[in-house]
Amino acid sequence: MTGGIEMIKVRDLYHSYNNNEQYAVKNVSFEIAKGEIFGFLGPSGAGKSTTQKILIGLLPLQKGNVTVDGADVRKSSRELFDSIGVSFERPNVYKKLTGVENLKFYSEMFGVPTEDPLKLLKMVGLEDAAHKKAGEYSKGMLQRLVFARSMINNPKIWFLDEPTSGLDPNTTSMIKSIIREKQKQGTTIFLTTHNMHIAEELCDRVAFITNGEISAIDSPRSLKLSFGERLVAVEYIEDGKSKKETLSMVDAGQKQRLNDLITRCKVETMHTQEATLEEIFIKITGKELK
Amino acid sequence: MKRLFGLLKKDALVAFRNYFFLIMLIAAFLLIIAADFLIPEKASMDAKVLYTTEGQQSDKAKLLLGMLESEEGAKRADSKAQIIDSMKKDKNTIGIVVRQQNGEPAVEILLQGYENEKSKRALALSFGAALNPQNVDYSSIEDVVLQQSTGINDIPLNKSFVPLMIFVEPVMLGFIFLATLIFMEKEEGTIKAYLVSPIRIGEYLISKVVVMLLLALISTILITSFTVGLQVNWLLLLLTVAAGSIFGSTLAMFIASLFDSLSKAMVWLIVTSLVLTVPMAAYFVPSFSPRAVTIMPTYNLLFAIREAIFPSGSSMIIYQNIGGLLAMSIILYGASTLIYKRSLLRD
Ligand SMILES: Nc1ncnc2c1ncn2[C@@H]1O[C@H](COP(=O)(O)OP(=O)(O)OP(=O)(O)O)[C@@H](O)[C@H]1O
Ligand SMILES: [Mg+2]
Repeated sequence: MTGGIEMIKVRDLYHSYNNNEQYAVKNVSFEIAKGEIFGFLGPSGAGKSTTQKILIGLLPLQKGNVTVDGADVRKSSRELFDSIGVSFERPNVYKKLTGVENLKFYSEMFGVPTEDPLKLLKMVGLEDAAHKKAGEYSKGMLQRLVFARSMINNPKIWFLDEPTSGLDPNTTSMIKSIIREKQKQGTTIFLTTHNMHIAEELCDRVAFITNGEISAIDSPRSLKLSFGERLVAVEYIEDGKSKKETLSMVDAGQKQRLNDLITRCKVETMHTQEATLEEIFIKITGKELK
Repeated sequence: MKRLFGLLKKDALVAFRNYFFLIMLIAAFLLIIAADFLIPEKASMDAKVLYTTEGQQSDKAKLLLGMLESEEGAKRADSKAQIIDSMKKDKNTIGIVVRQQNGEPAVEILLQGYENEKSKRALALSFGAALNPQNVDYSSIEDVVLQQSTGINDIPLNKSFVPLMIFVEPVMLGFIFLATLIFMEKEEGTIKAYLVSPIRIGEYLISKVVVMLLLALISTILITSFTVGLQVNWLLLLLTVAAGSIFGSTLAMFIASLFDSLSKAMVWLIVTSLVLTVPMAAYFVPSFSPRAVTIMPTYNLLFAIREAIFPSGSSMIIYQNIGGLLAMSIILYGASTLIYKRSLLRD
């Protein structure tokens, strides 16, 4: 972290749904600076949504300390929600109301200036469906509607739970550029996902969470530098046949082998390969992301 | 205030799109038709009488026959067998056979078998009176009327249904509608979206009560003005219905707060609404008034509605009823708010 203003601060957070020693979240600590995109990464059931729900007050804080925008969530007033936006994983809108109506009525709950519903719908490509009832929307459209709704109050802190799951590539890149745009305007973003590509592209820092515990917090780049082996994929011709090999740049023997290939054979292509964030996740946590 | 107004507009629109207003209007329309055209002004409880004689008649018996002849709706038949035949065809007919027994006239009364004790006794007494006017004890016919002063007897039968209709439509429909609204939001998850906005749970609940109140008042005004007309104590009537509607809504809200899905709450909602409507029986059969029924809030409510439409001077019942219902509503509302705060956060 780069020493900016802390918008979210979590210390020694524990949570148990049954009030026993089985914790869905245990010993979780992190902080998020103003204007940062913080990725919360982990497989299903890891405790991502549980943590997010405690931060936004949908679950009571049992143990630990959480401050959001400088206010202790235990004592925070309802007005805190004027500066918070939440996009839910499961689309929750009034099916009998149109897209515009859903945003319009929601906007009246806030004590701060709100965005124009039509402008938001346009941003997420729903302008043609703005006056259709949400009950007639497809799954992806509902998700975009919830995403748009979460921006209605121009939140300072924005919670996004799987904002792109199940969306087509075009829509996904539209959502991604909105997120980047918001970051430029200074919004702090807490992004929950198990999609490594999204995390890698968007997040300033990520936390790996499995079984309720965080095992690493860092920027995707430094995680790769410290945990990823740099590899080189070589395509060459030996004895008239085309061959392919992947060699580590760390292992001495393999470095020697690469030297040999370059001097002995006709090398056709040579690419350096970075380990993906997904590979690093598996390496650190010993778990697959799905 | 802006929040509450926003919630109100939203809830009213959701109620409208779910056809709550339409259902309310259709139900009111059907009830008005029933009150104005289907239910007769007077119940035809006067049975047709067929009578016949057997054997010689004394002077006393002739006196009795004379009375029967002059009676409208009474007809002479040829024989007892003929009377029985007609009675089988028309269930609203009773028969009388006058004969001589030991020198005295004797009257045999042929009944269908389902007449109640009270009318049998009344019938026997009136014959006794006709034959022997001196020694009839009228005091043995007792009339059990709950509130003598209400003078329900002067109200035409079809209009006396109006308080019941106002009870069923605005009050009970509100109970069902409110539960439906709340569970819809729980199932859609929309309540969670509102929980991460600055609204308070109390505002969220009040807004629904107000929408139901609106529905209740509209339907009361419609039903009342198209059945008994405009000559009612509107202020007291609307206040009474308002208290009833608020009570129904907060009760539904309380039940809804205890369950997380409509299917789980269904049994309780149905049982509660059945129990709440039991006093309707006491309304038409005043003698049916066990304590368990009279202490129910809806018992007083029914008679308060009647008092507001057909004033009899005992308006105390109206104020008592409004006070009682509002007090209970406040308790139910407070309890629901607390339970919601805890339960909604449980996911
Ligand atoms: N309401 C609940 N009652 C009891 N246990 C729960 C409840 N919600 C979640 N859990 C448990 O808590 C753990 C963490 O769940 P959580 O929803 O936080 O996971 P997640 O990381 O968000 O998963 P996903 O990627 O599938 O959304 C899981 O073991 C889950 O079974
Ligand atoms: Mg989740």
